[in-house]
Amino acid sequence: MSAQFKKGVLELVVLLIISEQDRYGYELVNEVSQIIDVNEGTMYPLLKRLTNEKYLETYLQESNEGPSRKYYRMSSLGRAYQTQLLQEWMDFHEKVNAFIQKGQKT
Amino acid sequence: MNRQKFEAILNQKLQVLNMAERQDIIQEYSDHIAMKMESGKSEEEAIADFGDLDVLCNEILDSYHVNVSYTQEHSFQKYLEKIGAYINMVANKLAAMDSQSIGNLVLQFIVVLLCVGLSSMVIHFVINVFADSFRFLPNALFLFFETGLRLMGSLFGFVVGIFLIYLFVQRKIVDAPVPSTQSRNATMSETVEPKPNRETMRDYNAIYVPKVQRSSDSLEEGLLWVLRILGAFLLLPLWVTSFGLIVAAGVCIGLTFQEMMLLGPTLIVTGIMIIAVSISATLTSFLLRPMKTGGVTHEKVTR
Repeated sequence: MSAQFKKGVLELVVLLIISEQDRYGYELVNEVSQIIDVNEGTMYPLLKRLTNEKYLETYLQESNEGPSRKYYRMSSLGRAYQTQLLQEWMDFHEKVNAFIQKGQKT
Repeated sequence: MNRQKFEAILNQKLQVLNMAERQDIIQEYSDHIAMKMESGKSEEEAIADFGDLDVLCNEILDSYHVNVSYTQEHSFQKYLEKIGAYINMVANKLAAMDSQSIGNLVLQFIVVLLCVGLSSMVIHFVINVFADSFRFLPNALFLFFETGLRLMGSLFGFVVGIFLIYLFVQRKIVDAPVPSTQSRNATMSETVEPKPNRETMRDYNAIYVPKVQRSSDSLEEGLLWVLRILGAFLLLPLWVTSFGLIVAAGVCIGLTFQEMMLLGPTLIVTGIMIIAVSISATLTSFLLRPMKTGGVTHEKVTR
């Protein structure tokens, strides 16, 4: 998949995964990389930005193995943003698909 | 590349961000590496998966809306920030110490200050002697020469002083083992000023003071020996002065008892005598002692 495609969708995917359940960084990176082939390093800047923009919140939680982990949680602002992004994606997806199908028929 | 180097590079490239943010980011990457290693990858592999570090750092800065090309120009500001971060770290270290070791530190710091004072005195003494030997020059030239020499001497003394104090801080505070284990929560909580934990402290050292630490052992020892020898020379006139003052005080007291009204001068001379003697005695005791106590106890304390 081209880098431009990835970049646009990555944010949406990350938000969707976190809205499902709170996640810590490593877990999230693994989840995302199953869907989109992404450089692990670039995930953290994205998380940082989403946190700075108050879409995500962080908290620490003890883990059974090793040190405590930094978890990401959705804020209400983030939920609204996610809904908006999802809607945009759906519209976009629908229109592009319709256009492609129309092209194939003729 | 190992993890320490990776963290050091991140720390350096993200210099524009404040320390807390930087540590937060480094901590996150460090955690990621640790978890990757648990799943069976090597440290090198885990770091290699991050790709090009320049790209990565630019991306991180980008998420803070920092203009990357702008930040690289302001090296002076970076430098100031480094100094600020260093002071901040020293303060954090101090805060983690108990009162007894702080008391020790204060005592040792006084010794260091004395050494600094001594060294500048010695430097000026040497310069005076040296400059005097150029009196054969024409007056204007001599004055010019002497001023330049003094200026250089002061500068040299200043540098030596700063270096000594820096060595002291580095050895006694920054490298000293932390007595209480700080929990990771303190590091990562969202408070304004999280205490840096030891790991990040180390990579900090890796950037700012890579060389002095290794070679300071013998260097410091040598420097202190030089100071001691110079100090001994300086003490000679001090003791002679003290002796003269003792004699003067004795004479004054004697005269007072022979009903010559010399009470005022007697008190003054005696007072100065006591001060001079105590200064000489203190300096001497410091000079004789430092190998066991005082300034050079690094072996015991740091290891």
